[in-house]
Amino acid sequence: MERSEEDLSLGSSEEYRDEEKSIFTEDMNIDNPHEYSKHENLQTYDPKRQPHSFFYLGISGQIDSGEFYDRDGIAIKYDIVKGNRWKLVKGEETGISQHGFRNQGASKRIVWNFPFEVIYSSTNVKDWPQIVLYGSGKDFRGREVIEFYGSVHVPTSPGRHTRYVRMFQPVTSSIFGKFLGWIKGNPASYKDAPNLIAKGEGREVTRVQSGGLLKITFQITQRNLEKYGYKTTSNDD
Amino acid sequence: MATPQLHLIGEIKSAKNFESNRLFCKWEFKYGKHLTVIDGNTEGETFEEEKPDKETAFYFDHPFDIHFKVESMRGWPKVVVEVWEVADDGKYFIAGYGTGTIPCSPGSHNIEIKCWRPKDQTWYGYLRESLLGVRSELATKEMLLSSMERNLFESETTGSITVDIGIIAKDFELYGIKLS
Repeated sequence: MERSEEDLSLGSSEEYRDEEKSIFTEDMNIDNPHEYSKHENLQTYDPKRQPHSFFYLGISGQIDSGEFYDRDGIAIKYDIVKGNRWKLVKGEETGISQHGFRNQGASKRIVWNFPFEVIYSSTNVKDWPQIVLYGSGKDFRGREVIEFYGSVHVPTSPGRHTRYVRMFQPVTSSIFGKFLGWIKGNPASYKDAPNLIAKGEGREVTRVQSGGLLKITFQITQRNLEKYGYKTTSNDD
Repeated sequence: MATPQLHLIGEIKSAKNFESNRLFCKWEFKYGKHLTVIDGNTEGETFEEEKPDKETAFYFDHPFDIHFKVESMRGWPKVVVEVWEVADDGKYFIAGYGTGTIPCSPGSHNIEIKCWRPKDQTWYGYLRESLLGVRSELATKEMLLSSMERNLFESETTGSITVDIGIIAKDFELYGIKLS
């Protein structure tokens, strides 16, 4: 049976019709009885003989909505931070959403529905990807100011996961600093932000304030992790 | 043969039902001597969090990513948290101690650690707490992990800490250990 590219494409959008080979095309030989037994996916795990290729982690999902108390008109930027053994196969590691305004009604929820989709390959799960989020608003002169920060680890087990991420704001220690920040239009913020937010070191004695809560939906797919001996879920087959 | 490995990936997520509205949390993973840390920090301290009045919970979202080499199932990791609250004048008081057991099945888990703090039993301590707001702390933290020496000791229940944790296990079944 011949499988055509069209059957595997995810939509009619141009974006999905890639020139490069899909990972599924390697599996064409699965129908050939001679190749069948040699196929990588049918080998049992043997720690002495590591497979030559990679395992793949597919992260897709969306930044659904958030509540930011009395703030309005917020854009969310995301950055995916991972260890240096992870290689990006496909997708955008960074993106910035529209400025979302809330409904006129009583609800404080801002909806973005901002999608992201990346595929990584690696051979070691060390330094698992994290998604770092920034919330930015516009000040009175229309300048973009990053005000909120947040981060969360990408879920480690396959499936659909919902994560609530707190967005925090650093608190300026002095009233004078607050005033200066207001005048200059840049409130207290971090230099070298992605690493500081994702690493979790040096957080002591820093005062922060919760600025809002974001809802993120993740869909995680994993390929070949068990070929490397990794068990990420307890649902046994 | 390959040694079994364990990855603990997640966040110290939130704190609930504590009285104060300025809080921080010290956390530490405790493990037996047959486990070795290959990578990652096993202890840390979260931001000092200010909670808006409308909010019911504190969110820390403090990330950790720890890689263990496991040579025995004895001494499976536990997480010990120490919650401190900050008074308006900047003084720190203990708000709770708690111990959470890390599940030994791979997958995503959400664990809730109920916290308690020691209650002073002397009349002097009671007076000191109600007048000055000074609370007694544990001098040694060994008792958090042991079941010994807990009798004749009084404690007071405080809030709880939530930990989101993803567990990835490698090579356990090569030794005949079934985890899930």
